[in-house]
Amino acid sequence: MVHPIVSVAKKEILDNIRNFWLILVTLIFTTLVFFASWAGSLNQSWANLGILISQILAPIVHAIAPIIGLILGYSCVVGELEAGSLPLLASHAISRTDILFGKLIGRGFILLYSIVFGFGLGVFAIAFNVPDADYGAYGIFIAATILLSFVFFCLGVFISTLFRRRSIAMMLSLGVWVVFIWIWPLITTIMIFSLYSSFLEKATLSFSIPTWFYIVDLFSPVTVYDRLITLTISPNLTGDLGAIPIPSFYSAELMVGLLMLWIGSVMVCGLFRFHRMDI
Amino acid sequence: MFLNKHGVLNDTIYLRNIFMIRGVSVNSSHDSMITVQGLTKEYGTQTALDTISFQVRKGEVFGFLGPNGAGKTTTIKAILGLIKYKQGAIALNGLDIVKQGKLAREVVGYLPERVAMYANLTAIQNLQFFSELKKVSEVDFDGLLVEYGLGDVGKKKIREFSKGMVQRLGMAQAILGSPKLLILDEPSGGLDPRGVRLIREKIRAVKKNGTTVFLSSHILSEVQAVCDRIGIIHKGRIVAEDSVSVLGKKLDLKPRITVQLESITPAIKDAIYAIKNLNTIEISGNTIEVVCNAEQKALVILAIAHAGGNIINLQTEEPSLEEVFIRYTED
Repeated sequence: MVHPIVSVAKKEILDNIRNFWLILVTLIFTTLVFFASWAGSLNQSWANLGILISQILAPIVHAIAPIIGLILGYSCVVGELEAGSLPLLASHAISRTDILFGKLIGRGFILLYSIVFGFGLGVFAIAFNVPDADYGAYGIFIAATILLSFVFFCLGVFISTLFRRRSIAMMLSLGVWVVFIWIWPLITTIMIFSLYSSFLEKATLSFSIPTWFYIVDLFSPVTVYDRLITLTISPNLTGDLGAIPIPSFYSAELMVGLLMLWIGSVMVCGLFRFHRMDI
Repeated sequence: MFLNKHGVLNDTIYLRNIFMIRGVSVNSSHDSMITVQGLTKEYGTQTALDTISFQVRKGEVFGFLGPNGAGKTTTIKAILGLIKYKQGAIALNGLDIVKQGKLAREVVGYLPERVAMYANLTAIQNLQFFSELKKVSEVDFDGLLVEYGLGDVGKKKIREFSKGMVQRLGMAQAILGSPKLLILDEPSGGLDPRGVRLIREKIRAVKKNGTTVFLSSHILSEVQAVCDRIGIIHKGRIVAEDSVSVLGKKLDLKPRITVQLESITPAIKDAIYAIKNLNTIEISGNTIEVVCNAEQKALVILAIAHAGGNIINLQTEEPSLEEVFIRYTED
């Protein structure tokens, strides 16, 4: 007998693989990754390619990968609730935990497929232009992107358990994306400027950013992703994150741990909420 | 707690017909498929279900009636463990729906009021999915679809189906695996007369196999045709629970007598009007209709005969479910 989680996962794949918005965003993602990889890797060695990834590809990816995750996540529960198929599904001998895990696995597989497909073409472009490409580093880049997209996917799933209307869940998901991609970097930039202004007023000899700023900065999974890419793929940049020096406690392990913590905690919140909601 | 390690009620407790679910004493018995005890559900400040209690016996067809918004679907969702409730207890085949929900639902086939299948999957893929959840193997899906009038659309996606077709597929899904309990919420909604008849035949067929049916419907003739007992819910409270005839008697509802005569003379009319306590008298053409009890019925026939009337036809119609329903749901 097939385990209910497997049945639900299979059903999710069949039901969502042709999602119009998902296909559209995946194609945009794939196209951008391909052309950025192609153009960026022309006459480059791997050392320069690391910079290409962290400076050109990562900013594109960190904006689009969360959208793919949110598209798959936000409708996960509320979509079926609004369509009316969730009561029928939940009326069977299946626990809510099994339902949610089945959905996470099924849609997670589609997410994985979308990301790997997008990067797959990028690999061809790089392989064509850079004979000595470091595919290990590129693999880390893909793995980090998968982690980031899963953070937003799980955030979307959690959001989908909070509402009974798909449109509201979509709006909030969009809001989450705007906050982490636009608002949070703006806030941290303002914070840095404020700190620097106060440094100028005090006329202190050396300006150093306080530790608490580095901790606050890691609140956003997008920032964590960027730091992870910088730390792993182009470590020669670690001393200089733009104008901000990187602290000693930043490490790739910490960044991976933080992304995993995001995934785990948001997934637990989604499960908690799903168990308590009326279907 | 009187449940054994598998979550099944102890036999000794069954004999006492009482068990406890989360502090609520529940009267149940071996022959009870659904036991609802003191169920209360609130949405904000609005009470959707107000301490409702009823039982559905194994093997019976139980009609669940009520005006729009009375709490029928909420009750069904509570029975299936789909909604959380404030107070009360529900046992399904002797199992607590909150604590042993997964196990309890193994016996259930359910057709929701607003049945929705997976739009991007074909009819057969939908049935395959639900048969996996029901742990039913070796199902002849093509044969099943033919049985429900969907023989030529098995490979079509649900998004191309009409509402009636989805309803038929939903019914096929509900009956998959021959469940011990079939819960149907407005099964005839969106169906053409042929579909309505199909559903009625299926209900009769599953009843013959010993399946318990919990039927919520607005079509009272359908309920009267197939149900052994009915429960009426009004404003979140159970106001009646029994067979239609017993409920009619409780309301002192009298049968309607229709007498067809060769001709009606003024003497016959006077004789009828002279009978005391006849509730309703309607005379049109050569037909007299009166609502009366058995004693008054004899008086009517005698009066007509004494007045020289010649009776051609006499029909007695028992109180209808519609009358019972209207009386119990009056404000």
